[in-house]
Amino acid sequence: MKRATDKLIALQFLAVVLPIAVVLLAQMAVDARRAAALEHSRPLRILADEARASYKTFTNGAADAVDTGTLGAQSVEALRTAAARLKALADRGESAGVAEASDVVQSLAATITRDTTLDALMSLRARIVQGDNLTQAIGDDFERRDEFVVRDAIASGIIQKRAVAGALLVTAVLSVIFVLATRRRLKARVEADIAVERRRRAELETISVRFGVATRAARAGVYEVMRDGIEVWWSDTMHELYSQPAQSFQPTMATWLALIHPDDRQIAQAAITTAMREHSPLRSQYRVVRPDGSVCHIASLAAVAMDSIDARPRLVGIDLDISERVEAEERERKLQLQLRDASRQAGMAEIATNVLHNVGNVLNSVNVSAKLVAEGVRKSKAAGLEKVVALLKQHEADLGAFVSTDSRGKHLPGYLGELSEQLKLDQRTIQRELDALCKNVDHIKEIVAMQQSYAKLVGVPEKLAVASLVNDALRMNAGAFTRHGVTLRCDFEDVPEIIVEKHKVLQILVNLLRNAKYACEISPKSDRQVVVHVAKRNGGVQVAVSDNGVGIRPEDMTKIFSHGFTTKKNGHGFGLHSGALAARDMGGALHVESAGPGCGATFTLDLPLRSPETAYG
Amino acid sequence: MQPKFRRWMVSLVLLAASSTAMADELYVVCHEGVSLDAADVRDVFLGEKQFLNTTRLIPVDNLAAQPAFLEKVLKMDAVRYTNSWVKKSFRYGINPPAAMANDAAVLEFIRHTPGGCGYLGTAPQNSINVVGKY
Repeated sequence: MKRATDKLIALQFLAVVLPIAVVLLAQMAVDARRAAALEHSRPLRILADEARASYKTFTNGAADAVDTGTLGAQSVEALRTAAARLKALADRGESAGVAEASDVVQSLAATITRDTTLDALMSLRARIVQGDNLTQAIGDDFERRDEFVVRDAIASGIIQKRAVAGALLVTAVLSVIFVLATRRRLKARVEADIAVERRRRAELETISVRFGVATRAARAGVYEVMRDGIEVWWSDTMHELYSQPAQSFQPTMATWLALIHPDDRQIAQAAITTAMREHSPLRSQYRVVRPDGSVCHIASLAAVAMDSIDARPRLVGIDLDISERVEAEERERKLQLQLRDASRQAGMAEIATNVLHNVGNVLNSVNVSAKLVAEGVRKSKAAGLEKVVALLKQHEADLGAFVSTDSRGKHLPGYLGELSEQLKLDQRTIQRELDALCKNVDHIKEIVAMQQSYAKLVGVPEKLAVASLVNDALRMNAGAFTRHGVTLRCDFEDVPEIIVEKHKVLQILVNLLRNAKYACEISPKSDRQVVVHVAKRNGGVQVAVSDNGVGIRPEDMTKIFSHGFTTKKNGHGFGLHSGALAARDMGGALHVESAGPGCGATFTLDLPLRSPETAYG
Repeated sequence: MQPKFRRWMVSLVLLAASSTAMADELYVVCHEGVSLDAADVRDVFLGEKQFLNTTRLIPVDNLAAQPAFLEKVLKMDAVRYTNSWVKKSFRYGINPPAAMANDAAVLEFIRHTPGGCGYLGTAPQNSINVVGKY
């Protein structure tokens, strides 16, 4: 738009200037030609004037001779001078009149001498007069030429005036045409310019208002550092931020730095200096001590921009009051510490729960074994042996007669034999239960040790046969399966040994078997069955525990492994959660599938051949 | 001396010699529209005045009446009159008045020549512009 207006103005200027310039240039050319002509004729005219003057001297001398009777030498010399001048003039190629005059005067000069008498002069009078007329004519001719030049100059001046007037008229006409042609266009453009300018001004005012509101709302002060720090400008919000009155406080680098906390002053100054020197963005944080002694935390963000006027760098930035944020961060830090402690305590509680849960599982087996042992001891035939010993002590003196003659003595050997057999049987039963008890106690110890390892060390992986692990787990739950009428079926494929932490796997399997038993236990089905299937899968080993119990509702599938989720009446929601975590720790995974309530469920434990912590061992 | 000028000079001498036989009245006449006073007449015939406004004045001598004209009007003799014109012709390149033989020739010239001036020894008719009587 500005470029178009400038073009229009330039065109108008040309319309004004061009006609006048053409006229003036043409007139200058004519003047130059006229001046050249004058310059050329000037020496000729001088020569002609000199010839005329000399000839007049001669004729005056001739006139005087009428009175004196003789012609003076000066007159004769003047005549010859005139003849020479006229010849020179004729030699310059002047008009035919010059040549004629030259001929006449030269002939006179050749005739007339100092000795020429008055009578001779009188006889030459006609030629003298002719010469006078001819020389006069030459002068007149030059005069006419000069007059012509002058008249021409005058006429030219008049023409020039008329031409300029004409040019002005043309200019005026062109200007009027131009203005009429462009007025509407210019008007539209000017109006468009004005509209754009108004819109920009409105936008600027809006931006300014928004900026003011935003900076005030954000408690942000705006500043500029100019002329290498010599000049500093603060916005009103900056004054408010620093609690310095805008009317009396003159911001400079020195007064600004004086408001900054002494411990942060050097950092703030270095940040500004570096940004100005390297033209790099400024990000700084410091404290400001207000006049009332309160401390305000400031975050300063700035960038270097080049001044559009003097092309010098200026630092433009904002100061943000981040006191609330800093305080919030401090509160958050303290909260984090509290949360960490709480989390730690929660972890400890989880470990304790885990321990209790797993130990509780094992304690069930321990309890069963202990009851069986106690039952065995309670029902032991050892009391009968005590009666036999007392009877034998009573007949110690006649022991032979007693055994051979007494009716009770006769049955004693047979009774002792039967008692011996019974005791042997009881001993084996108790021994078996005690072995199981010992294993369970060992498992409890391992559980405790393993839970301790969550907080301290990891367990020790060992190379194990999967079938052995599954059998151990089955044996721990064998009594429960029998008591609740659950049929157990095992389907073991030939799988390689795996390197895992035994008790982690055992813990998972015990939980899966116990859950399967429980699902069957609460199921109304009479055909309660649990199937354990071991197979190779995806480069590792998979142990699947399937039951035909109550199944799992679809909405529970996603939270079945969550901590605290349980469907058992007295459950804790920890077994599957800890099992999934343990499987993941070993580089494996624990999955569940169920077709829905009443359709049973299958829990699958995938284990790698080598757990991650042993992969590079 | 050129023959023409010599004839003019001889005529003047002869006229001067016969001046006693001339009539007493002398009339200066001009072409229609030319008005001269006594001083103008003298200047015109001595070559001092050659123009009246834009009209070139052309004086002519009347050989028959010249002695009386020289005596009454120019107050000089024929030699002085001649020398004056010789000097004028040398100095200014002008020629002396043409010489007419008598009044009739003068009248004929005056009638047909604008700016023409002459003098008569006899009174002219009314149609002639008489500018002076001596």
